[in-house]
Amino acid sequence: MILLVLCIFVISLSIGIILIAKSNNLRAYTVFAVALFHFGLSIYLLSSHVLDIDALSKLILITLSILYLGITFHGIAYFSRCQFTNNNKIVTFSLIIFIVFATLMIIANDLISMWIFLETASLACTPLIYYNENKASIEATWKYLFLCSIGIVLALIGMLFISYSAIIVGASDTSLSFSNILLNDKTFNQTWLKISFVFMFIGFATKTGLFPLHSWKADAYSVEPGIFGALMAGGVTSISWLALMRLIQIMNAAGESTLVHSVLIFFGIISILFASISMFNQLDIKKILAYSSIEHMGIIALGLGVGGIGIFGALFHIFNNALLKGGIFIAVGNIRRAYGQKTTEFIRGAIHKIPISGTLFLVAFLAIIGTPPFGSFFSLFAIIQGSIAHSLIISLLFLLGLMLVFMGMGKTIFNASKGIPQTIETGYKDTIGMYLSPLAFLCIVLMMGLSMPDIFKKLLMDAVLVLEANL
Amino acid sequence: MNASTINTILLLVVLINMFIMGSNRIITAIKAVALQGIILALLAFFSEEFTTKGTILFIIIVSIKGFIIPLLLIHATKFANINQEMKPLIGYMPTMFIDALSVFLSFFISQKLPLLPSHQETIIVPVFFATLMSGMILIIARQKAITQVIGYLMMENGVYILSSMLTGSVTFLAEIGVLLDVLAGVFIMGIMLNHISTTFEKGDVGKLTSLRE
Amino acid sequence: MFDIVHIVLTLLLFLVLSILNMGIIIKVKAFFGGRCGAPVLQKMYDLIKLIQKSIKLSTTTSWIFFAGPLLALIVPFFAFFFLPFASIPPIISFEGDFLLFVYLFGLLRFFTTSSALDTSSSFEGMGTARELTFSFLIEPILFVCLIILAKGTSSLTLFGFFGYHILDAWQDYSTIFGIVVVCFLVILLVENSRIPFDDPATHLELTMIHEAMVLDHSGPLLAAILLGGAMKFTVYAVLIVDLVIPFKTGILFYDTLIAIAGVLGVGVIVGIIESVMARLQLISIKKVLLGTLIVSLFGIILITR
Repeated sequence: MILLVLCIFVISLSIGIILIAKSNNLRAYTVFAVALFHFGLSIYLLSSHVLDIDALSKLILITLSILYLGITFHGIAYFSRCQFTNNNKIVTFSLIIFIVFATLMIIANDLISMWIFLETASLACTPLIYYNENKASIEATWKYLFLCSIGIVLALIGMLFISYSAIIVGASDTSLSFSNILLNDKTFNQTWLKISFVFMFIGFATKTGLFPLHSWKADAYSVEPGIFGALMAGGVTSISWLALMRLIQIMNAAGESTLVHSVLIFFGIISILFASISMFNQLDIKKILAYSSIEHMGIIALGLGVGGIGIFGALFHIFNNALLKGGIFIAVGNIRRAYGQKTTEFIRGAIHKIPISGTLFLVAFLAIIGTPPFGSFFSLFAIIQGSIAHSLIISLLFLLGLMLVFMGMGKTIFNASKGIPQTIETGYKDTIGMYLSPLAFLCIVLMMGLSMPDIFKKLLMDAVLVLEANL
Repeated sequence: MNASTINTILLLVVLINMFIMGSNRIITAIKAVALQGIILALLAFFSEEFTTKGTILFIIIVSIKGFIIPLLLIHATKFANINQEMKPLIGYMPTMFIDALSVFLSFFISQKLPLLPSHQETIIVPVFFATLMSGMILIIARQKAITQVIGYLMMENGVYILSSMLTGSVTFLAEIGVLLDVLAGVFIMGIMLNHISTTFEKGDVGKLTSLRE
Repeated sequence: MFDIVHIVLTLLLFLVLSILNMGIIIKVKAFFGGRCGAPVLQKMYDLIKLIQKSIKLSTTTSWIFFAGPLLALIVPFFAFFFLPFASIPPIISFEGDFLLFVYLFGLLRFFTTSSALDTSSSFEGMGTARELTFSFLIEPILFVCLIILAKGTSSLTLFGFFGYHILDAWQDYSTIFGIVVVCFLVILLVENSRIPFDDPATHLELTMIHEAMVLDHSGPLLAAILLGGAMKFTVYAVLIVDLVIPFKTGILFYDTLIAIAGVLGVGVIVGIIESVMARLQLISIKKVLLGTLIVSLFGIILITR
């Protein structure tokens, strides 16, 4: 109870400061303070049993919290540096709204409230894409907003269908709380449940950006500032994956896991292949990252679909992907600012021009494609193992996709980081505030690879158990 | 209310779908969607017993679907000086025809689905599918941003039909939340429309092509 | 069985009603326009005047040119044979006669359009094209409506549709039969080229639809077409009245009186529609007709589920 009051106090105080404050800096500090509070709150929720949340929620909560902390820390430097842009009242407000509703969504124990909070959180991201207020950003925002809204409607329909499938078999309790749905196993009408799965899968997959529903992603990520790209590629996708994993749980409990697995594998593979092909000859480094994000969504879907050790890999990969995408988007934001451009026609030799951000960019790329010491290597390896155990064809397609990604993505990124920089003077210099967060993110992922803390390992294992229950 | 009356009202809803498919003025389409929303709210209100909660919900829904959103959109149209023409990508007649096909398809689907006995005698499930599909067809078949919003509202009306089927299992608070989310979505869309039409001319999504994969 | 007097009397009544109806429409329109209007029997005087005139023929015409007006006279009579009027049973009735009913008008349309094309006038070609476009949309509506009636009353004859079961069917399928009535009204308006769809009084050939087809007919031929049109109107009016007034008193005299009042009532309604509505755009006519077709198909779905 005290906790609740404290949270409400912090939220209202921060919103109040953001609305009243006159300087961009003060708002940025406020958001960072909220992030610190959120981090503390997450640690407290993880260690205690105040709220009865399962390991899946805990995993996503800690991922989001670390990512948000890093991003808002970067935000302090970012907003103070970018005085030329308009004031950040709306975006900082959106950042607060986002974290509030994302957290509520993670701890929600009811399908419909989870949906409401997820949609509010994703709607809160709209102003972030529109931050630069030019033609391209309007277009990207409209695409995002519209596809998300369609996704909202479809997911809602799916939930109502679940409710109907419980009513039709004459279940006594038809509320949509998880405990009820998961307890009521096998008392659903299977036809309606399958239809509802299709609707909800499409609805939530719109936000993760799996292949046929990806079209907003490349635009949104390429027009918004790197810092917000980091939040969306790391944060929004992670909470959407939580929603999808809840769906998988429900279907497992109802004994329909075969359908779920084949759907996940199918969408996973086509997302990977589509993304790997789209990367070739892509000059825009932010778009490259957007396609990489689509690819990694595909990898996670594949991992969850093949089962076995793949589930462990997928869960671990959600964590790695969030932090790595967060790091690389911030690094790319720095590079973009140093050059004033975002295509490799202009960006050359980033390592020489801005040594630290450039190096971080390159290292983060290596981590993303799964170079050994990083945690992402182990998660990818687990998923490959799982897919080999599942079927040879799928694992071959998967490896082919990974190879194409390395080639396509590597070409652009090496082009950007190596070579002799053109003499474009934008007055940008790396400061500690600008590169500390990506560095921290990379260090965490590296640490996860070198020696995973037992407590985190236990969390992952518990989460795997949650997903494998009723299988 | 007996099944025949409900069917008559739902028939009206399908006719409004058809009318929107054929209408070539934006304001007419907005008004038609608003009318559809009000009709559906009335249907839900009169098909249950009278409760305070239901009345409050009814008033909220009618004011949002029937007045706030349409007025917002009409204001956006006038403020941003959007041309009244619909700009069809697919002509009016083919759109109506496709819509008719979708109606038949939805009847076909609904016959295959297991339904509650009370839903079998009314046409509530097929009308839900038909309205949903009509919204999608409108989104695909028209070019302007505002017509996409109208299509979205039609889909929303479809969802409302579905949720009125399930009264009791969805709580009051949840319904309010759903409504608020929708309102927020449409509200942001309205603001965006203004920005689109000031940046581009006449709110035309067809002009949103500078970003390609 | 029917004695010949009975048949002749019925047909005479039909003829009188046709001529009266045209006059009534003109009267109603005049009333709405604040005028006194032509006498109710003006149509008859026109016909008599036309019959006295001679026929002017184009050199390109053949016997087809005469077939159109001839069938325009015969077909409505023949179609009326299948319809019950008040409590008078139809003169001919057999299983599936409603198909013949639909295709009788198809035959008429074929010959009217052929005789229009026979003149090789460009205006008539245009009118034919429009007329055929509309009838292409109208014919399925009529068909679908009759199928709905067949399903609703579970019989296969027109007499069965409007005979003894119609009252029960109305109670079971009131919504669907409501749709059918609306569809019938639309069919009546389109087939007889009344105002929201076509303007029989228009002066410009480019805006004509049905009128453009009969530009070259003169004298008795034109009289035949006009009389045929009036009778066609009455056939459809009888169809609507049969459906809308399902109950019977059992006394022949009263039933006949009610039916006559009904048919003239349809005339009044059409007059009112013509007075309060403007003619639709050509493009929106197609939309309305397609909409009506879809609605009627919707009726079929409703009745078969």
